[in-house]
Amino acid sequence: MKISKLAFVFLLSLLMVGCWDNTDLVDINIVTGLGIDKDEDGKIVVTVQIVEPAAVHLTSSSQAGSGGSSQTKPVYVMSYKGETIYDALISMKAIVDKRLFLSTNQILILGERFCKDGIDEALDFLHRNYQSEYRADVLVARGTKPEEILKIQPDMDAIPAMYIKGTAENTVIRAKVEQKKLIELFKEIKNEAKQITIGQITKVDDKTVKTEGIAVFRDGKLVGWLDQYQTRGYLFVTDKVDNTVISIQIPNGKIALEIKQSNAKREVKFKNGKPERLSIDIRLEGNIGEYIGKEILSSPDDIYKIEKMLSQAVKKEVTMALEKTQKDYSSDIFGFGELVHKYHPQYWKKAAKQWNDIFSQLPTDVKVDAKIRRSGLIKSPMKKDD
Amino acid sequence: MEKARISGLQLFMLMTGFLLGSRLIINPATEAKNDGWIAILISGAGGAILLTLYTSISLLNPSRTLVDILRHQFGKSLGNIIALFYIWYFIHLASLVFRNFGSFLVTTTYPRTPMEIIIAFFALTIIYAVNSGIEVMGRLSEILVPIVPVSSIIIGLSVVTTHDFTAFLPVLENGIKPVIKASLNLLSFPFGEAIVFLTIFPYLNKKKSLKKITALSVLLVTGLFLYIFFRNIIVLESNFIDQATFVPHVTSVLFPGINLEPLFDVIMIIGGGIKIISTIYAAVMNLNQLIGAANYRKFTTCIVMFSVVLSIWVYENIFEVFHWAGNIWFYYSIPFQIVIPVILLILSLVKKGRSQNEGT
Amino acid sequence: MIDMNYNMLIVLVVFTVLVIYDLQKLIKNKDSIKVLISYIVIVASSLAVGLLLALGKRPVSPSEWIEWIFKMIGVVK
Repeated sequence: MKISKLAFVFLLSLLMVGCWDNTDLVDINIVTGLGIDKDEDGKIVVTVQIVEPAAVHLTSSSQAGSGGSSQTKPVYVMSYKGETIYDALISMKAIVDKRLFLSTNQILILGERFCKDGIDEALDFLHRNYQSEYRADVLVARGTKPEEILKIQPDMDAIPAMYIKGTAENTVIRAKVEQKKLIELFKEIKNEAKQITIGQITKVDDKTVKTEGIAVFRDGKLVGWLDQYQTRGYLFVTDKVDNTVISIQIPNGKIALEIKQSNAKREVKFKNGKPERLSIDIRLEGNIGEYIGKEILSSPDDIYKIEKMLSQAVKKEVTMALEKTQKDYSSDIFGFGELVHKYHPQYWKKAAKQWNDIFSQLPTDVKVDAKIRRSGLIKSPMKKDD
Repeated sequence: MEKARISGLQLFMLMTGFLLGSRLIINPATEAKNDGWIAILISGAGGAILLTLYTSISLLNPSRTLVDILRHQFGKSLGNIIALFYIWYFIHLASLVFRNFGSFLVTTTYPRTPMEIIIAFFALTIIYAVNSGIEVMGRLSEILVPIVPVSSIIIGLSVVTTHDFTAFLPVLENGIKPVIKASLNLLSFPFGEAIVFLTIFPYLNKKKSLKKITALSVLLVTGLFLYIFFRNIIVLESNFIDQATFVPHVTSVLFPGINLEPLFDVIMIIGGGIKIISTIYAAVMNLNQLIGAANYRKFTTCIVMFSVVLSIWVYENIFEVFHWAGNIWFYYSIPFQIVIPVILLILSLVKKGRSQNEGT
Repeated sequence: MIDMNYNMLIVLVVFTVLVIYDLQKLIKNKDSIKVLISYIVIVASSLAVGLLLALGKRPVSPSEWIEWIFKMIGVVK
């Protein structure tokens, strides 16, 4: 009796230990970057950046130490064509030896042609697959292919994907590119009241990339780009600016103002049951970060002047962004449609389909209220008094 | 009946765990989209009424379990037939929870492990727990169930950094119909399923606090559902919720820094486990009384075996699971959750009135 | 024998072992015939369905019967 019971417990423990689908680290290829593009024939080209963990260690230590050349490369980049993303990834086994492990993916680079054909349905795989990393950063490659971006060999970081992710992440300080996580992209794809925007990435040389500006979509299709200043205008409106530096011209010099805080309020003003104008109210606070000029900043009046100029500068960027999206792209990337949907559901039901066109016809009110609080460690400029 | 007693706290925990069950994994009131909160409030109120109904039946028939009550009120033969139907319903319910549990783990955490194996090994633990008796089940839930709301709340607090607190607007965009549908669904799953507890109520040591305990449990569960609803809609927005298979899992994936998926598995195992344990216990207990055997433990293994097989048999794929849970379960449950209990209550009241008249 | 579901078979074997262990006790304790019969009926039906599932021949499931009944009554479209 007792022995049979013991035997049963023993049997159970044998069965329950370990994982059914256990895979060792040596049996997988760790994917850090994923690129998706289309070729001329409309086939999907998937590019993966695979890391060799042992080689990463080798390179980083050799860089720090003697500087001796190591034979193994830390990353490999492979591309393969297929009908769909999943098809290409699986067929890629023809040139890749181990299972591709996608959960470690850091960045997803989309190609221009792929984006122009529409990304709405095409990204289904990344949404459906349990391995997909929802927190990966998404970027659109401008003027180049995702392959080319993933093939760069930066000096700053052994793994290119980490380097690229780093540049996208530090938008927190500069606010000139939008950092878009895959999950946020999925939310936008489903959201008919706000058009998609994704940060853009360009290749500078074999070692450097640049993440600046955003790609603008309409109905899931890439329609154009915003440059870094327009992007900042867009970020101001959508309340995504944490920190940035704005330089303004003054009669005898320049001032760089550090924005510390920015709050934006969007509103769609209705009249007679129809949207009349878009109003944007931005409040921001900043410090003087750099001042190249002669006049001494001492009186509150001087500060008021600078505050006013700062407001003007921000307003200019915001207006640029609004004009570009309204006139050239006719795409409501700011999410004014969401406001209409939330607060005027009756009107939204009728207008949802043509909202982008309605949006581009609406006049805008931009109000910026800037405050300058501190001047840094010194009060007066670094200049001999006359 | 066992000669066992459980405390008020234990019943509260058992009941809360039962009600939370697998609903923490499947988003409550998905059909209502933005208006899920209205649906949750309606079903919470409905749930309170249903549970008052069940507790009243139990209090009017003290120390009787479901089979006893049925026999007492409907007469022996009719009572036995209805009891048989109830036993089937409980087994069916347990197998559905098994299936939910299996599908969730297979989709998210163990994609390469066969579902049959996951369910079966979970079932072995369930056999052990049920055979240990109601007291052990009570203590078990006392220890484990508090983990469920606490971890759910912690996940919420740390995920809500992307924050659109107006995400639930506009109110009643698609009219009241989907809201009613969602609230009826939520009413039958999980609140109505608490009919299972008619077998467990008699074990409470202080009968007086029964109503208070169930009311508190419903209140807590409704509050948690609301919290989870708002958490998910703030983090994910309604369109996305509509699309995802297991919504709270997606929320956990978004947690910055660490991977919280295992925490959801833990919630699922506790909630689903408590639910299956209570349901299987009720089924076994009632079957045992129906047949008149001395010890209910005799039937645990075969009933669990049956519901494991059933759980794999009932649906071919996950679409059927959702189709059933959304469209048919409610109608299927009406007789078990509402019609028969209401008749029982009326009969009990009549009988009680008659005996009191005779007494005076 | 094309679609053998070995996992289902494993599950059935595990449960059968437990059931045999149970039955031994039932017979030893001289339980009433009623108990024994109902036990065997439940086990036999689950084994039968389980084996059919393992062989890849899934019989029409109770949820489909119930759905069919509801469709007949007209509760569900």
